[in-house]
Parts: sequence; C-alpha cells; structure tokens
Amino acid sequence: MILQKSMSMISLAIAGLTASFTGLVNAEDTGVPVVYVVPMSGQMGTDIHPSIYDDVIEDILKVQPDVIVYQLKSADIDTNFYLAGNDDRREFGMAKIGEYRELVRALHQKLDARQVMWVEDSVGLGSLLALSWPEMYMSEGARLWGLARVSQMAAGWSDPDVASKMLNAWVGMGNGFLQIGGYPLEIGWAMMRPEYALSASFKGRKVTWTNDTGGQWVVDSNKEGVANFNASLAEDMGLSQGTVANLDDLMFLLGYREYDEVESGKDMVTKYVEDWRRTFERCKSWYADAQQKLGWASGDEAIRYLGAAKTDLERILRACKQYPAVAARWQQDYGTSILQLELQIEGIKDQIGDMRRGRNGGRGNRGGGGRGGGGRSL
Amino acid sequence: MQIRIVTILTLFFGLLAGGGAASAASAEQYELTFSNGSSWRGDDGARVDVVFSEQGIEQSIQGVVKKIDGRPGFQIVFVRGLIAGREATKGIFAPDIVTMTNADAAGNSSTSGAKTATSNSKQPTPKKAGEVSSEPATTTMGENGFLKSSKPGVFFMPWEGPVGIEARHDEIKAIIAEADKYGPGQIIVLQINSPGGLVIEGDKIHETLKDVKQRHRVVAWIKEAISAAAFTSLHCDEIYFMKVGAMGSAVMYAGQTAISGGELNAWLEKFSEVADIGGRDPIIARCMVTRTAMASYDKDEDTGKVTIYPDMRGEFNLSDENNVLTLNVDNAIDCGYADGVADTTDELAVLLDLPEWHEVNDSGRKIHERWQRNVKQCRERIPRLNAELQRNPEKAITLLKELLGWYSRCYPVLVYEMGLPPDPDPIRRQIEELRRQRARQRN
Repeated sequence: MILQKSMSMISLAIAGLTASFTGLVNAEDTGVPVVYVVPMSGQMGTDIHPSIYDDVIEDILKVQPDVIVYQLKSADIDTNFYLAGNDDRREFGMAKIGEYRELVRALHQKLDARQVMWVEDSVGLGSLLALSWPEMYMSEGARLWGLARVSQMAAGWSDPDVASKMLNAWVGMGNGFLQIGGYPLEIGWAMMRPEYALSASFKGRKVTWTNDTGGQWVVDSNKEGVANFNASLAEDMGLSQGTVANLDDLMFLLGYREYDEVESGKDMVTKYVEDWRRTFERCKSWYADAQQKLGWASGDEAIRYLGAAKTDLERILRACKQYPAVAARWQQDYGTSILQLELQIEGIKDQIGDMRRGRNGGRGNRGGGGRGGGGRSL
Repeated sequence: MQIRIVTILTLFFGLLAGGGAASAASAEQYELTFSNGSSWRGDDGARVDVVFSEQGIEQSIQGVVKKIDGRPGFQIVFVRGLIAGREATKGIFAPDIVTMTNADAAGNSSTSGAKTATSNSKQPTPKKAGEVSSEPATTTMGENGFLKSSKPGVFFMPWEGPVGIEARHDEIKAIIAEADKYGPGQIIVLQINSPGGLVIEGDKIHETLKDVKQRHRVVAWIKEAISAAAFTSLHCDEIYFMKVGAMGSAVMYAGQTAISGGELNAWLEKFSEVADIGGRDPIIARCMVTRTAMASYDKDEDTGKVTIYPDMRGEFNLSDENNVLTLNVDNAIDCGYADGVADTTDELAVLLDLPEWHEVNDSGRKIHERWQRNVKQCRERIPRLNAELQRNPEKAITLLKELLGWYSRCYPVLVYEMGLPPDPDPIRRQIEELRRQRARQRN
C-alpha cells in the first residue's frame, strides 16, 4: 500500500481545479499510471548523494512505477533553499564527478521505467545530472547553467600542454553525462568551456550544433563565458521538451491525463536531508565544545577534560560514519577526514593513558605522510 | 599456417598501371590455411565471410579484414562488420575459423578459394540486467592439457584507480596467467576506470599486452581511460565504451611541466606504435599526447570508410592545435576508434558475439578485490603506524618492522602516494641501530 495523489485532468475541468486525493490506494487497483518523484535538491555531493539514492532505487524496485521523475533543484548561486539569498561557497556542489557518474549509471541501469528529468533550477554540477536523461523538461524560469565549474576544476596548471590535458580530461568526463543523455558533444564543449561558441541550424526537426557562430541560431558567441540555457531557450532549441509549472503540467505533457503519485521517495530524501544537516549542525557544536575542553585540559582536570573532548570527537566520528554527507562536509569545511579524526581520538586516548600511568602527556599525534614521490606522471 | 606475402608484385603492377594509391601500397597480403584444409588469401581491407567456432558454438560474421595479428598458429583475424546491429570489430582466433571466403561489395560470397560460407550473421537480443544465464558452466580438463569451460565466456577484471597504484601491471599479468590455463584464444575483458598514473607502470603494461595479444583477445571496456589508462586501452584488440566513457589526455609531465623535445618525440612514437598494434590510426593517438597535434576525418556516407588527416581539412574535427584529445562515445565510434557501446555486461556480451555474458571464473574480480583491499588497508594503517611511532618510540622496532612488511605488501602506495623512500634499506639500518642501542642499554 502506498500513499498516492490522484489527479485527473478531466475531473480538474469539471470540479473547478479541485485535485482529488485518494489517500492510500494501490496503483494496480486503480489502473492509472503511477509516477514516482525523486527529489534531487540542494548541494551536489551531500544533499544529492548516492547513499540516499541507493535506498530510493530499492524503493522504486518495490513500487514498480510507470514513470520516474527526477525533480532537480540544485543551484550553486541565488536559490538553494537553505541559503536565503546568501551564496555560500561551502554550499556549492562538490567536485565529485566519479560519484555523480555512478549515480547516473545506477539510475539508468537498475530502473526499467520511463525516466524523466524535471529541472526546477540547476546552476553548477547539477547541470550534468540534468543533461543525463534524454527526456528533459524545465520549470518556468529555470536555469541550466554553471558547467564552467567543470573546466574550473582543471585550473592551476601553467604549462599549456599539461593545462590542456587536465582541461580536456575533465571536460571529457563531463561530456560523458551528456552522452548518456543523448546530447551532442558540441553542447557540452560550449557549456563547459568559455572559449567555445555555440550555434544551431535546423532542418525540419533535426538540429545540428556547431561550436561557432555560423548556425542559424547563435546561442553563445561570448568567448569569456560558457553557454547557459534558461527554460525558454532550452525549449526553443529542443534541449528541453517543454516548460512546466508543476507536476500536473509535466504529467499532462508526458501524455498522462491522470496519475497516482508515490511520495515515499520524496519522504525518504527529505528526511535524509533534514537528518544529515541537523547532525552536521550538532557536529559543529560538538567540535566547538571539544576545542574548548582541550583548551581546559591541564592540571588536575586534564584527564577529565581530555575525556570529555574525546567523547565529543567520537560523536563527530560516528556521525561521519553514519552519513557520508557529514563526512564530506566535515572534510570540506574542517579539512579533517574520518581517518584523521580517528587518529586524533587515538592520540587523546594515549595522552589520557600516559597521564594515568603518570607519564608526561601532551605528545599528541602528527598526521600521516604527505603526498609525493618522484617520477613521471601520465 | 600463415604466409605473409610481401606486396612487391602488387606494388610493381600498381606502379606500371601508373596508379598506386597509398592504401593499396600499404596493404598486406595474407594466406591462411585452416584445420579443415580450406584456405584464404587476401589483403587488409578485404570483404569476407567468416564461419568460426567459438568454444563449441558455430557463428558467422561478414565484414572487412582490419588486420591479422599474432604468431603463426596463433593468429587473430580482426573483422569489422555488423555485430548485433552495430558496427564493431571482432577478433577471431584463426584456429577457430571453419571457413573464410572473400565477398563482393554487395555482400555476396565469392566461390574462389575456400568453400563458400553460409552467412547467417546472428544478432542476439541483449538480456535485461539481472536476468540469469540458462545453465551453469562446468570446467573440465581438455585433452590438450588446458582447462575447458563448457560455455563460451570471458576473463573479466575491473582495472580501476590511479595507474601504478591501484590499477597495476601485476593484476593484468595475473588475469592473463589465469586465461593461459585455458589455452590460447581466450577473451580477456578489462573494465577500465582510471584517471591515469605512472609512466613506469605504462612501460611494463606495454610489454605484457604486446605479448598477450599474440595468444588472446584483449578487450578494453571503458568508463574512464585518461592518460596512462588510455595508453593501456589502446593496446587492446577491441575497445568498447560505456555511454559515459572518456578516453585520452595522455600528456606526459614531470612536476608541473610537460615533456618536450626528444622525450616528447619518443613518447609520440611509442603512442603511435601502440595505436598501430591495436589496429588504430596513430594520427588520432598523437593528439592525445600533445596539444599541437591535429586530427580530423571524412566519412564516406555509403561505405562508412573513415579517412583521417593530421590537420583540420576533414569534415569532422577531432582535435585542433590548441587541445589535447579526449574522446567520448560519439566521436570515438564515429571515427572508428571504439568498436561499440555497452553499458552492461549483457550488452557487452552481444558485441563480443557471445550467446550470453559468462565469466569463465571469478578470478579477475578476486584479483582486483584483493589488491584494492590491500591498498585500502595500507592507506588506513600507515598514518596510524606513523602516529604510533611518534607516540610510542619504545615500540619503534616492532612498528618499523611492520613498515618494512608494508613495503612488500603495498610498495606503490608507500612510495608513489605517500612519498616514502623507494629503498627501505635505511629503515632496516634504523632497526639495527635501535637494536644495538637497546643492547647497549641492557649492558
């Protein structure tokens, strides 16, 4: 039994735009198509993380919907729901292309139902996800922006050959997402590389894209910036199949006059995001406490405060192990990996042990060896 | 038996005729004799019908001979034709060939030479993920002393992570050794997912893959093959892309600087050679090595024949003078650098012309998992060991001995990733010195 929202376009007209909610109804009983909405909202790499989508995939396999809608809302600037108009670099999408690629492949391969991407807004690496499905719709005013992030990942190399190697490697990996979505490479180059122009020529319904300004419709002639699409341009150019206001609109365009919506995926993702973010906030607080206690750890109270600090750090460690998103943000914001946390805790344990045995404390641990090694790289 | 007939006569007649197109001049003529007494004689580029038996199942393919590789008795004939509705290159182990006949452009077989093959090119339908194979396979000892699987299958191994650290030559050698137990003509599939890595590892891989191609069919299945991983992939007889796949960007550099001059030229030559032994045009490979090399191509709409240029005169651009080349699935397949696209093992089985995906055994996966587990343990243990060493100097001898053990277990992580000295002798000396110190203290 699954929670469903049933909406019929015909009943809409008759009942004066009144949606009918049928509550707990089995889709097979009603015979109407079942749509499963998978939210992809927030920060790429934390809110949008493979760990939660593994669970969602399992749920989808149980529900066996007719249509899966990926509802993407991930913008590094302006509109992330938790930013309140204050862009925060810590909330920008994380550069984890391999992880996103595995997510896309898993969704494509493990799920049989028709899959549709609905872009409510996308600025940054989320646009790689947007372009990973051939059937894409966008909300009014939605953006499909920000793939300059991909080429920025290759920045920092002064040698032109090495710089070109890194740039083209990243762009090639980025273009893999467009290829699985069935989009031509020219669009990827223009969306990821500022110096590439983009224009399109039409022959009937067929669109030919080129990285110059010679086409009938010039999308991007600016050599300083990448090509970006808003909803109307994307629809005009055939990237997006339509512009929609809400799920009802989308389903109507997909050819379903009525449908049942399964909301378990939404619930799972929403709960996951709330949980990890709440846990992360607690971690910040535990960390502040731990720092304070470590500062107080001297004299007669040293063992007590060291023990209390260790407890706080152990809480953070447990949170990092429970939520990969917390671990990722902890690494990004505090520069500390799970391993380094473990070492820090072990160091404190040793310090306490030494003190109990009457030895001089405070040796502390040092981190692991740095990267290096000589030789040539390829 | 194979006899390579040098094309002097062909060249001579070509020159007399006042023509002598470059492609004709470079074509090689082969003569193959099969176990049933039939034979085939022809050139690279000849259109043929081939009936062959792969692990007991008779199959056929019609296509164009791309090349014939391998030593006498162990040749592999590479035929490019339609496999499961897609154009792909199939490597056929010569002793498996029942008949091979020339076909005309319209696809009709000629009757000259060997007996006419019945062309009934099969196009299996890929199964959905998770669909189980019909019957379990059994392995027995064949009369020839080699193991024999009851079903045609592959030796599959994921090859992932930085080359030389996680993706190594050693694991490639190990899967080859496993395939060797089953005799020549096995299919080895390397699922490649690597951002590149160390040149020294590439050198070892080069020698090993060059050798194994003489007796087995080596397939690269690409998710990500950047730099040294592209170099590895190009050795393979067949390259298949996943839709998300990328291959290229093989600029060699030290520190922050790309190699140049003689070193670059040598690297370009080596990359060209590798492309060549993989049956691919070196012009494209060179664009993966240096920014200034260029490639474009024309494609004949009727025949699909690709002509590649080392400049931008072709209709389709691959790489201009400002970019190092990374191929994706669309351009890799269109220019003929990749043989097909497969996202799942079942799709790959179709392209490999197997009746279903079957792994002869799980040794490749185990080899891969074993090394990956070792790397993970090493990455976790060494920083701890270092911390313990600083916290507990009295345990130094035990800890340093453990570190020496890690040199044997996971050298690449210690040396190339963590920057420990390549030679562990100073550690041994340190252990000896500590022992002497302690002996002195006891006395």
